[in-house]
Amino acid sequence: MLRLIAEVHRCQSRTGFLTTSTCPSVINRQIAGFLLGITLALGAVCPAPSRADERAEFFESKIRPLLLQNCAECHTGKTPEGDLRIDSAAALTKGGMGGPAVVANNPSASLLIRRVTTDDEDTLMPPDKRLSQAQVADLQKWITDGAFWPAEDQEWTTAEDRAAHWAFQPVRPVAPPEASGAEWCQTDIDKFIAVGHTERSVRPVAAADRRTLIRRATLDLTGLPPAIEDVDAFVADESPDAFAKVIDRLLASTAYGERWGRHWLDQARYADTSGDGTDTPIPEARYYRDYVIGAINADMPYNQFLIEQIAGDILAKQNPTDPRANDQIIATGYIALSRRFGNSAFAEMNLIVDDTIDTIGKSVLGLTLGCARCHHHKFDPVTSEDYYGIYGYFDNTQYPHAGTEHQKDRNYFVSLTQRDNWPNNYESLEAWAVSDKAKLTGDTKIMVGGDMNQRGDVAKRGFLSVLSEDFPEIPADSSGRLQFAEWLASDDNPLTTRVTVNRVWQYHFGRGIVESSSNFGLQGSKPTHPELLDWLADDFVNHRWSLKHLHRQIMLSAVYQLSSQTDDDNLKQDEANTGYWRFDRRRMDAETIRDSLLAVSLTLEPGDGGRHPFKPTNELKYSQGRPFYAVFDHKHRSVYLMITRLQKHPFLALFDGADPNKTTDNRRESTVALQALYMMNSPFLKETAAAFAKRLQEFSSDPEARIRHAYEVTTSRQPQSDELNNSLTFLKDYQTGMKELGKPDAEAEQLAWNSLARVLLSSSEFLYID
Amino acid sequence: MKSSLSRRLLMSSGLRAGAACSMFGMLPQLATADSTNPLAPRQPHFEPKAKRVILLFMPGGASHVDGFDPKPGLAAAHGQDAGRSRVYTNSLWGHHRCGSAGTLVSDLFPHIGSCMDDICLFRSMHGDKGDHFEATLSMHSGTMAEALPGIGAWVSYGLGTENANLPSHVVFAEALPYAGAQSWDSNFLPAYHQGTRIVPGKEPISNLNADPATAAMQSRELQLLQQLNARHLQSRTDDLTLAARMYSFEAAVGLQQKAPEVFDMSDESDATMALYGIKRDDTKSFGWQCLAARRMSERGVRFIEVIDKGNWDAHSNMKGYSKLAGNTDQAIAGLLKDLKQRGQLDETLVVWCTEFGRTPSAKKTAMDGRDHYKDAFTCWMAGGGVKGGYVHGATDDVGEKIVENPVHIHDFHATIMHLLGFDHTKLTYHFSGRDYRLTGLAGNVVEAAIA
Repeated sequence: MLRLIAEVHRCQSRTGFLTTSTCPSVINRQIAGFLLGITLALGAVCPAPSRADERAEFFESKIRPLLLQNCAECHTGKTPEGDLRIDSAAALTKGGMGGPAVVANNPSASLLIRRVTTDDEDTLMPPDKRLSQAQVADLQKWITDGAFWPAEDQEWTTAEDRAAHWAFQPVRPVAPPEASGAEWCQTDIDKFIAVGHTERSVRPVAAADRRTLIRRATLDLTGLPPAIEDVDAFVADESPDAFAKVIDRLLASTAYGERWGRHWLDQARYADTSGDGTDTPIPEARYYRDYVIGAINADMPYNQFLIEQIAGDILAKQNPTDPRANDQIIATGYIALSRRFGNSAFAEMNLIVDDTIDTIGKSVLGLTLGCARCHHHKFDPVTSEDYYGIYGYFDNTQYPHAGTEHQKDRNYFVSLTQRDNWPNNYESLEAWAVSDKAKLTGDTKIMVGGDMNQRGDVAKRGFLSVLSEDFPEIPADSSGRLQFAEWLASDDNPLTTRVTVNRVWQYHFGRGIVESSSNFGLQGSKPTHPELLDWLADDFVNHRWSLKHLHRQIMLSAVYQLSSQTDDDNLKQDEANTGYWRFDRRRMDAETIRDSLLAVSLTLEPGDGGRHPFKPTNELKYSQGRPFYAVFDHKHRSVYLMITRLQKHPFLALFDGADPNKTTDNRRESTVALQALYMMNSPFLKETAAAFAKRLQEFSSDPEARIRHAYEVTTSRQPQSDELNNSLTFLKDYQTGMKELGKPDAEAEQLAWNSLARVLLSSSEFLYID
Repeated sequence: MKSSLSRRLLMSSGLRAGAACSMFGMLPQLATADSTNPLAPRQPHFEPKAKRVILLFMPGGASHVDGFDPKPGLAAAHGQDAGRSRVYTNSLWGHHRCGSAGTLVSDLFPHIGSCMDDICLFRSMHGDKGDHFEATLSMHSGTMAEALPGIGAWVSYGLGTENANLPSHVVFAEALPYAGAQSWDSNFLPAYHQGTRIVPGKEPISNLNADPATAAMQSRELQLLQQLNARHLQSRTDDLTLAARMYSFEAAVGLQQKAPEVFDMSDESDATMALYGIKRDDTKSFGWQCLAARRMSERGVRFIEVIDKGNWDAHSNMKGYSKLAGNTDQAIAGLLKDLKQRGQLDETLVVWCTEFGRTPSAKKTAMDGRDHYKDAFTCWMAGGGVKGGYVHGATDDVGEKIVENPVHIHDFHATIMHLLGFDHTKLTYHFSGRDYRLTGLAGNVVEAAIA
């Protein structure tokens, strides 16, 4: 938790952002540098901390980028030119064939300075160009000040090393291995898992019983607990495809899209406000939310789903009479929802675009592309050219403006082209979406150090150079987003496909095969089952990027159906369960808690609740001093709650909901006293418990039957006799207590049932999924 | 999500036995580092001067030249051209030399002026952002470019709490400041470091009060709940989050019982009430909040922020400062004096800060106001190992340019963390592929301000 070694990779410095020295020539897209680990640590000679800070900052902002961009291509790796490596203080002091390259505190004695300043063109370094005077001055200052080098830095890897990183390799078809525990395996997935069991010396625990399994599957696919009838039917179904039928039924329900759509909305940092200084409402944002839910329910091929979200408006323009045109426009809400800042329209535009790129990077590619905004990515082969190459697509894209303090008028919403057959509860035919700018500006110049006002070379619109050296052919009248989207969602993009199947795996099991599901870069986690990951990705592409197919593949495996029970021997071998020898128990996420409470108390209302009760948009006038904030409550599913950015929704925030400001890779699971207080004292629990008690009372007049029913509804099982007796005793005690306080009999009885209902609704067994 | 790391950490703790054995209804004991409480107290990097922080935040941007950096030079410059259709304007208030060092303080703050021997002024503060939203976030989290944890969440993360029954980080916010609750959000830090908002009045903490109709039977209800949970845990003993969840209900009961005591001031003497300038029936004034902050602080809450409900954003009508200062001056001085007389000032760092300063000049069209000014302003600290009676940094004759020892917000944060025993460069949290810290890549401890 408390890390005493300070690897600091934050971009902000006091001036806003780190600046890198301007490179006079176009940097070779492949080699430009990346670093491994910046460690701010005190120098060996005990300078004052502030001094070390300054020197570290100088090194990171000036020297490291300079060395990387100008020297690293030849002077790193196992066989550096002239035997000189430049990626550590020791290497520079030791020097190469020409002797020590750096003598600390003595620039004139340092060969490095002589070689970058010499008039002899044959020995000048770097060979193809001359460093600027400012760069030479930086090197001199650095050496004069003692040639500071972070104490715990690691050797720099070469561009080849980085490009060889597993995640950048093509997905290759893998044959499922022959597993030793073949009788355990039910599907091909299990064969990979079984090999992992053997490697870890663990043995899978028994399969979950049917009640547990259907509860798990139902909550997993729909975010709601199973109905008693469905549990009973599954328990009684002796056919071999009983569970497959359950999965199909769940996948066909609209609740499936409401659940799995929400997973994508986490990635898309969905909100109904813009996040600017006034947090201006965007009533039309929900069109996008509904698009996502609809697309997931329709099992739209995931590649199409991605392409529409990035370039749907261009598709719609190409074919405006297509019945899908409206949806395609609305899909670009994914881009339009980029976070806004400040108090005028498009203030900090580069940060808005950065949010777009950061979101695409993490949610689609599993890369922290945003790191390359101010400097080449320090760990991954992502250059500033890559970043600004992608930036170019969005530089030519018109984002909409929802209004803010100093520019209150809404602007640049996109008109839907299909005017008929449109949900009549929609606010208007104007979507919160993006379009190509009326006046295209072409490629973007690199912002040096992320500074909009310091422009470097033009970065041609392209892809990630580590994956594709090609540049798209961009039509003259287009931003090029469609070409970018098609590349992102192409069958042979190894990142998109792996990230997608890993994400689905993560939501099923609680943890991805790659645990850092939005970071597949060199700093991310390694896959626990790399071959399985590739098998899944390949199978996914071969089945037209169908999520429903993927769910079936995963859920029909033996590993998905394992019990969550522990095993001491396995614990010793694989405490973190990286080998999936059991199913990991999970707490319901925020939406599932709320939806389940509403569902079991029979107060969940169908549908999406229609419009949020915002003021009419021409009255949406807010200021920093009076920003918009509201909690619009209703009893529909939580995915339909109105989400604000500056203040989180109180319930969702309390139970670890998604961050609406930033793409969320996986929910956390915190356990805090304020959650317990919510269960004990909140009006919502009081109401819900009363409604649940009413359900029980209407079910039967027999207290025992009511209690049995209550257990079945909340836990999908019958109570044991001690539980039954305990409950009865409790009801008696509670009523007696209430009567002693002077409550009439009927009220005392009612309160006792309400209380029992609340206990069951607050119990761990209800809120956790085995 | 249960990461493998947190599982291991929990595994190595004594949580299983702890939660299962504790008797429900008894208040949780002060958790120790190897116990169940994720907020168990932790040691900082080195011996701290301060054990906790009370941060007083003045929204809107409080003027330095009308407060703690009065400028006799402005009287002379009054009416002179300041460029860009602006003229310098003198302060409406006089000033006096205060404390043994004779520090100039505006007459708006006579009470705080009388505490100058305990106060260290930073008259050379500067920030990056001159708009409320961004500046509020900057003063709390060091940046506005992305939503990051604020200083309160960082302190909670670094130190945990000394009182198992109270949160580690609380924020008195009768009115929301700019940028809403983002300033005390834990963001990527674990959720229990998030500030618990206290809204003075009937229910200061959400869901704190049991329903009066059933309160008497609540412990019986919770007894059944814990029976159910214990039974559920029995066949899942390796799952420490389930035990932690049981513990959270005990902690909730602790909070429910102990928090009202914090807000019930009947045990305070008349003299103390008078010190803060509050009456017996007061339940929400700034003075009441300062007193409640002291009561939280002495009960071990690590980071207490009190956000003034007043808005110091006087683009016009500087006269309004009389009321704003009047609402806070005696209360803040009372807090300092009270802490001192109780011997708590040494280990409690009191910080007074704002979004930014205000221009020493005014638009010719609005001579009675001052505008946002991020390039020079004043904040201060008292107690907690800071040098009292000391002024760090200085501005020019009119309070426009820093002429000595500039202190960036990052430096201010670094200094607070240092007083709490942290090397600010080493209190980091790994998130999204990077190690984050409060001070970004910057921050220098203002050594001269440390006693």
